[in-house]
Amino acid sequence: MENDALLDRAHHYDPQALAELHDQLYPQVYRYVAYRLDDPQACEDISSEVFLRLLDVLKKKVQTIQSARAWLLGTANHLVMDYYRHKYRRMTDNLDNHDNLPDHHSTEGETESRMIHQEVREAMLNLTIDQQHVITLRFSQELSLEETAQIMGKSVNAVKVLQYRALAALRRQLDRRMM
Amino acid sequence: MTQQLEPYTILENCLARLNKGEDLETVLADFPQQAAELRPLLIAALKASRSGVPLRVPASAQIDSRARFLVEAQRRQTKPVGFLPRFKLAGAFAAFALIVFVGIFGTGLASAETVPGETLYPVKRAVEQAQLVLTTNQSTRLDLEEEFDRRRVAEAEELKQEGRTEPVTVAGPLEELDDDSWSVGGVKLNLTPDQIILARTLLGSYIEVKGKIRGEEGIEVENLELRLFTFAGTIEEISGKEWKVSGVKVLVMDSTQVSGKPRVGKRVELTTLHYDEDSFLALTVRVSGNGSNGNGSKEEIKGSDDPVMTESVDDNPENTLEATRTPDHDDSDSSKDDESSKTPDSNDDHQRTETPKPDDDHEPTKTPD
Repeated sequence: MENDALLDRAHHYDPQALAELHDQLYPQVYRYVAYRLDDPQACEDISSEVFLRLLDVLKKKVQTIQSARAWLLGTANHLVMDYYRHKYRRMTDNLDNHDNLPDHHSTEGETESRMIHQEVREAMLNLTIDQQHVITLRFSQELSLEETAQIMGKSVNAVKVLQYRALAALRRQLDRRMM
Repeated sequence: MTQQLEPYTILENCLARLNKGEDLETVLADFPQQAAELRPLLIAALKASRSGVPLRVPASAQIDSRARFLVEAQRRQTKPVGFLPRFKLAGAFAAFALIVFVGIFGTGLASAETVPGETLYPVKRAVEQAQLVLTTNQSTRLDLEEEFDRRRVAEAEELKQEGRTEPVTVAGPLEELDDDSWSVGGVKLNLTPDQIILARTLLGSYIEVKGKIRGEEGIEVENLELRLFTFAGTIEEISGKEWKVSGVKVLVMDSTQVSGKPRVGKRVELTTLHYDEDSFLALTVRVSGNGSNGNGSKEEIKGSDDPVMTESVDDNPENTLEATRTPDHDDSDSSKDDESSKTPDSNDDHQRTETPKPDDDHEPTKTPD
């Protein structure tokens, strides 16, 4: 398999293979993190950190691109949780004035999307870790149910149930915010 | 028939169709019985997926990250090996010293990725304990402890994934998951009915769990309890409920058990919960040893917001903050022997942040029951 060959070279720290591995997976990691955080610098830092940590486990645990992706996204999940753990207090102070986001001359549609994104992100903070993970996997990059199950190391059925409950919880949180 | 399907499966089918661009009403029309239940979930899903639209990946971020990744890989690859022969004879002693150094320090590093049950794991824990002991700054030490807690959770996760069975101790916020299972810091717990009763009272609190991890089954719990943080220091300030003890902000409430007559300048030992990022909620405050000024150290329990003793009396002004397990002469806390120097801190901060509630503005006043 092409992937296996790539991983094999990556295990030997072949720079080209590593670069290829990085570039193949970086966008997914970044989108995952950006879905959860609205701080562009933190998104970059965390995404980058996730890859540095991959080096620790590369030989031991990563035999396929899929397992690399699962590991990266799982680690991204944990780093995002850590981020909130540390930033939470300052965040609550600022939650209501996040108009300090860099403004790339957004169109009206983009501004609306961004507002919805912010709303969802804040509502998600009240969900369990797994619920946040499943929603991010399913909706930040539209991974299939099967891919999500593989990344989470759960059965497809378990993910269906988790996703159902995650959406129910998200809805409750969104409703609460409307009130 | 679709009606026979489980709601989870129906939801997934609907999501797949929405994803293909079908209209919400069209999709719901096919599930009239479940439509009422499904509609709000699908609306939430639409919001969640729309919210993914503006996520662009900045090219510069990817390039920076790739560069860091490659540099780090290269750094790891060119580990200093093979230059020892240069020290031959002339540098025999230096070489010896280097070997010892690498032996100690290198083992510490090599142990960093180990998990319980592996040979180097005790080294990892010893290095951590050394770090804690060497850290005198209270807040830094707290951060370290949190970091170590996260490591324990990560180790447990790893053991779980590898399907191994090992004794573990993890600490983190206690959560009840949707499928009625329990978890600490995201690691699944197997609780007996009695433990579940206890767990319900601790839900959301920062707790410590001891037990055995059994692969995918999670942790078979032997013991779960609130994580406390104890330390000793000198009272620097008392203003109402807010005290400052060797630079640490401590809240002393009516319910706090206060023994002796604490006042500015006195040394006290405290058992606390972590209240928020920079303050602690005291469960007990005990004036240390020699009670001068005729106060004695007679036990008395009283309300804390007693503003009488606000002025400074320097009868014992050393400002050092002692690590938790100074082998003090007292019996106030009988349960701090195991795992040597662990400083349990019950961290309200954690419990909030694990499932932060941005709309619960400001200070969480929650304290574990």
